Amino acid sequence: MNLRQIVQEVRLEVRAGGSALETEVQGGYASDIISDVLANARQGTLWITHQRHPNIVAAAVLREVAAIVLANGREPEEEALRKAREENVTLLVSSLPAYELAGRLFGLGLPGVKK
Amino acid sequence: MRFEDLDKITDRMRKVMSLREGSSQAKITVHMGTCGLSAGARKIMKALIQCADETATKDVIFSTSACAGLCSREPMITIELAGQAPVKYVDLTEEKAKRIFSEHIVNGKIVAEYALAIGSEQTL
Amino acid sequence: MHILDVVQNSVRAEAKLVEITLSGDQEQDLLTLEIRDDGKGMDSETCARASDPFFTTKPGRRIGLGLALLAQAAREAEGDFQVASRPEAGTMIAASFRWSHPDCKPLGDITATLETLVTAHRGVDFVYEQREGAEIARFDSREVRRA
Repeated sequence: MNLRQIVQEVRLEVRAGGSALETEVQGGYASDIISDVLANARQGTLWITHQRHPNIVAAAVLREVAAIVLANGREPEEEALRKAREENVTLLVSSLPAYELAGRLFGLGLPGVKK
Repeated sequence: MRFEDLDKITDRMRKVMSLREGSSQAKITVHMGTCGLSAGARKIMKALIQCADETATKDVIFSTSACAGLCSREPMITIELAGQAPVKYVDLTEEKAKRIFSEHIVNGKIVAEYALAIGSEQTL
Repeated sequence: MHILDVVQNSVRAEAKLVEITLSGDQEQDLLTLEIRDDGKGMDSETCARASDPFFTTKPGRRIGLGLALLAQAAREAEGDFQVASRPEAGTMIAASFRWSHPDCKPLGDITATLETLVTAHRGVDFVYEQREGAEIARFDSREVRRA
C-alpha cells in the first residue's frame, strides 16, 4: 500500500511532502511519545500522532518514516510545517480521532510495524 | 521526591575507583545517545554492571558513547578486550547482553549472531 | 532519561565536574532541574541553537534531540527551559515544570542514573543535590575520592 492510496482511502490532507506519495508504507504505528517512536518506528512507517511541534519532524527524519499523520484535525505548528517542507517529510492531517484512523487503516490491510 | 540511596552510589563509586588505571582487560561501551536511551540503554547498562559485579574474573571498565547514526539497531554496545578489535553488538535485550557478557567478556568468545561488525580502532 | 542524555553533552564538552540539582517547591508548584558543567561551553550562536532538534555539534550528524526533548517536556508541563553558556566557562541547562500539571512526568530512578554516571565516567566528578523545602540530600563524588 502506498501513501497515495492511503490518502485517498481515509481522506487525508497533505500539508507537506506531496511529491512523495508513491512511497510504499510498511506498517502503521500510533504514539505521542517521541522516545517511544525513536525506539519503535521503522523505515516506511506511517506514524499517527497528536504532537504538533518540530520534534516530530526530527524524529520522522531519524527513523525514516513514510509519513506523519496528525489525528483529530490537529494542524502542525508553523515551525514544524516549515521544517517538514525543508526536510522533505510527508506531513498529513486527518479529521478522524487516532483510534478510528488506525482502525480504518488496519481494516484496509495496513499491518502494525514489525519489530 | 525520594532519594535514599546515597550509600549505594558511594559504594558503586568506590568499586569503580578500585579498578587500576590502564590495567583493564575489557571495556564495555553502551551507546547512550537519545535513540539508545529511548530503546532501553539504561536497562542494558544496569544488567551489564550487575554481571560485572557478580563475576569478578576481570577488570571491566564501562563507558558510554553518543549517537552512532544507527538508530534502528539500538540498544547497542561495543565490547573491546585488551589487544583485540572492538566488536559492536546490536538489537540488544537484557538477556542478549548477559549472554554476551558471559561468552565474550568472561570466555573471550565473540557472539557472532548478535554482532554487527568487528572494528579496527583499538583503545585498550 | 533526560539527565543521562544531557550529561552525555557535558562529557563530550570535556567537563570534569557536572552538578545536577533537583529542587521541589510545593508552595510554588514548581519542580526545577539544573545541570551545570565546567566543559568547553558554547558561543552565543551555538547556545541559541542548542535546543533546536535540527542542530547538533556531533560530527556527521544533523539531528540532536536530547535538549529538544527536555525543552518539550518542560513546555508540556507549563514550565520553562533555559540554556546558558560561555566559551571556556561551561554550560548550564535549566528546566522547570509545574509539579501538579497532569503532563508533568514522574521523576525517574535517580539512584540508578547516578550509578550509571559514576560507573561510565570515571574521570568526571558528579555532584547531585536534591532539595525539597528544608530537606537536602547530597552526593559529591569528590568526597568519595578524598576519603
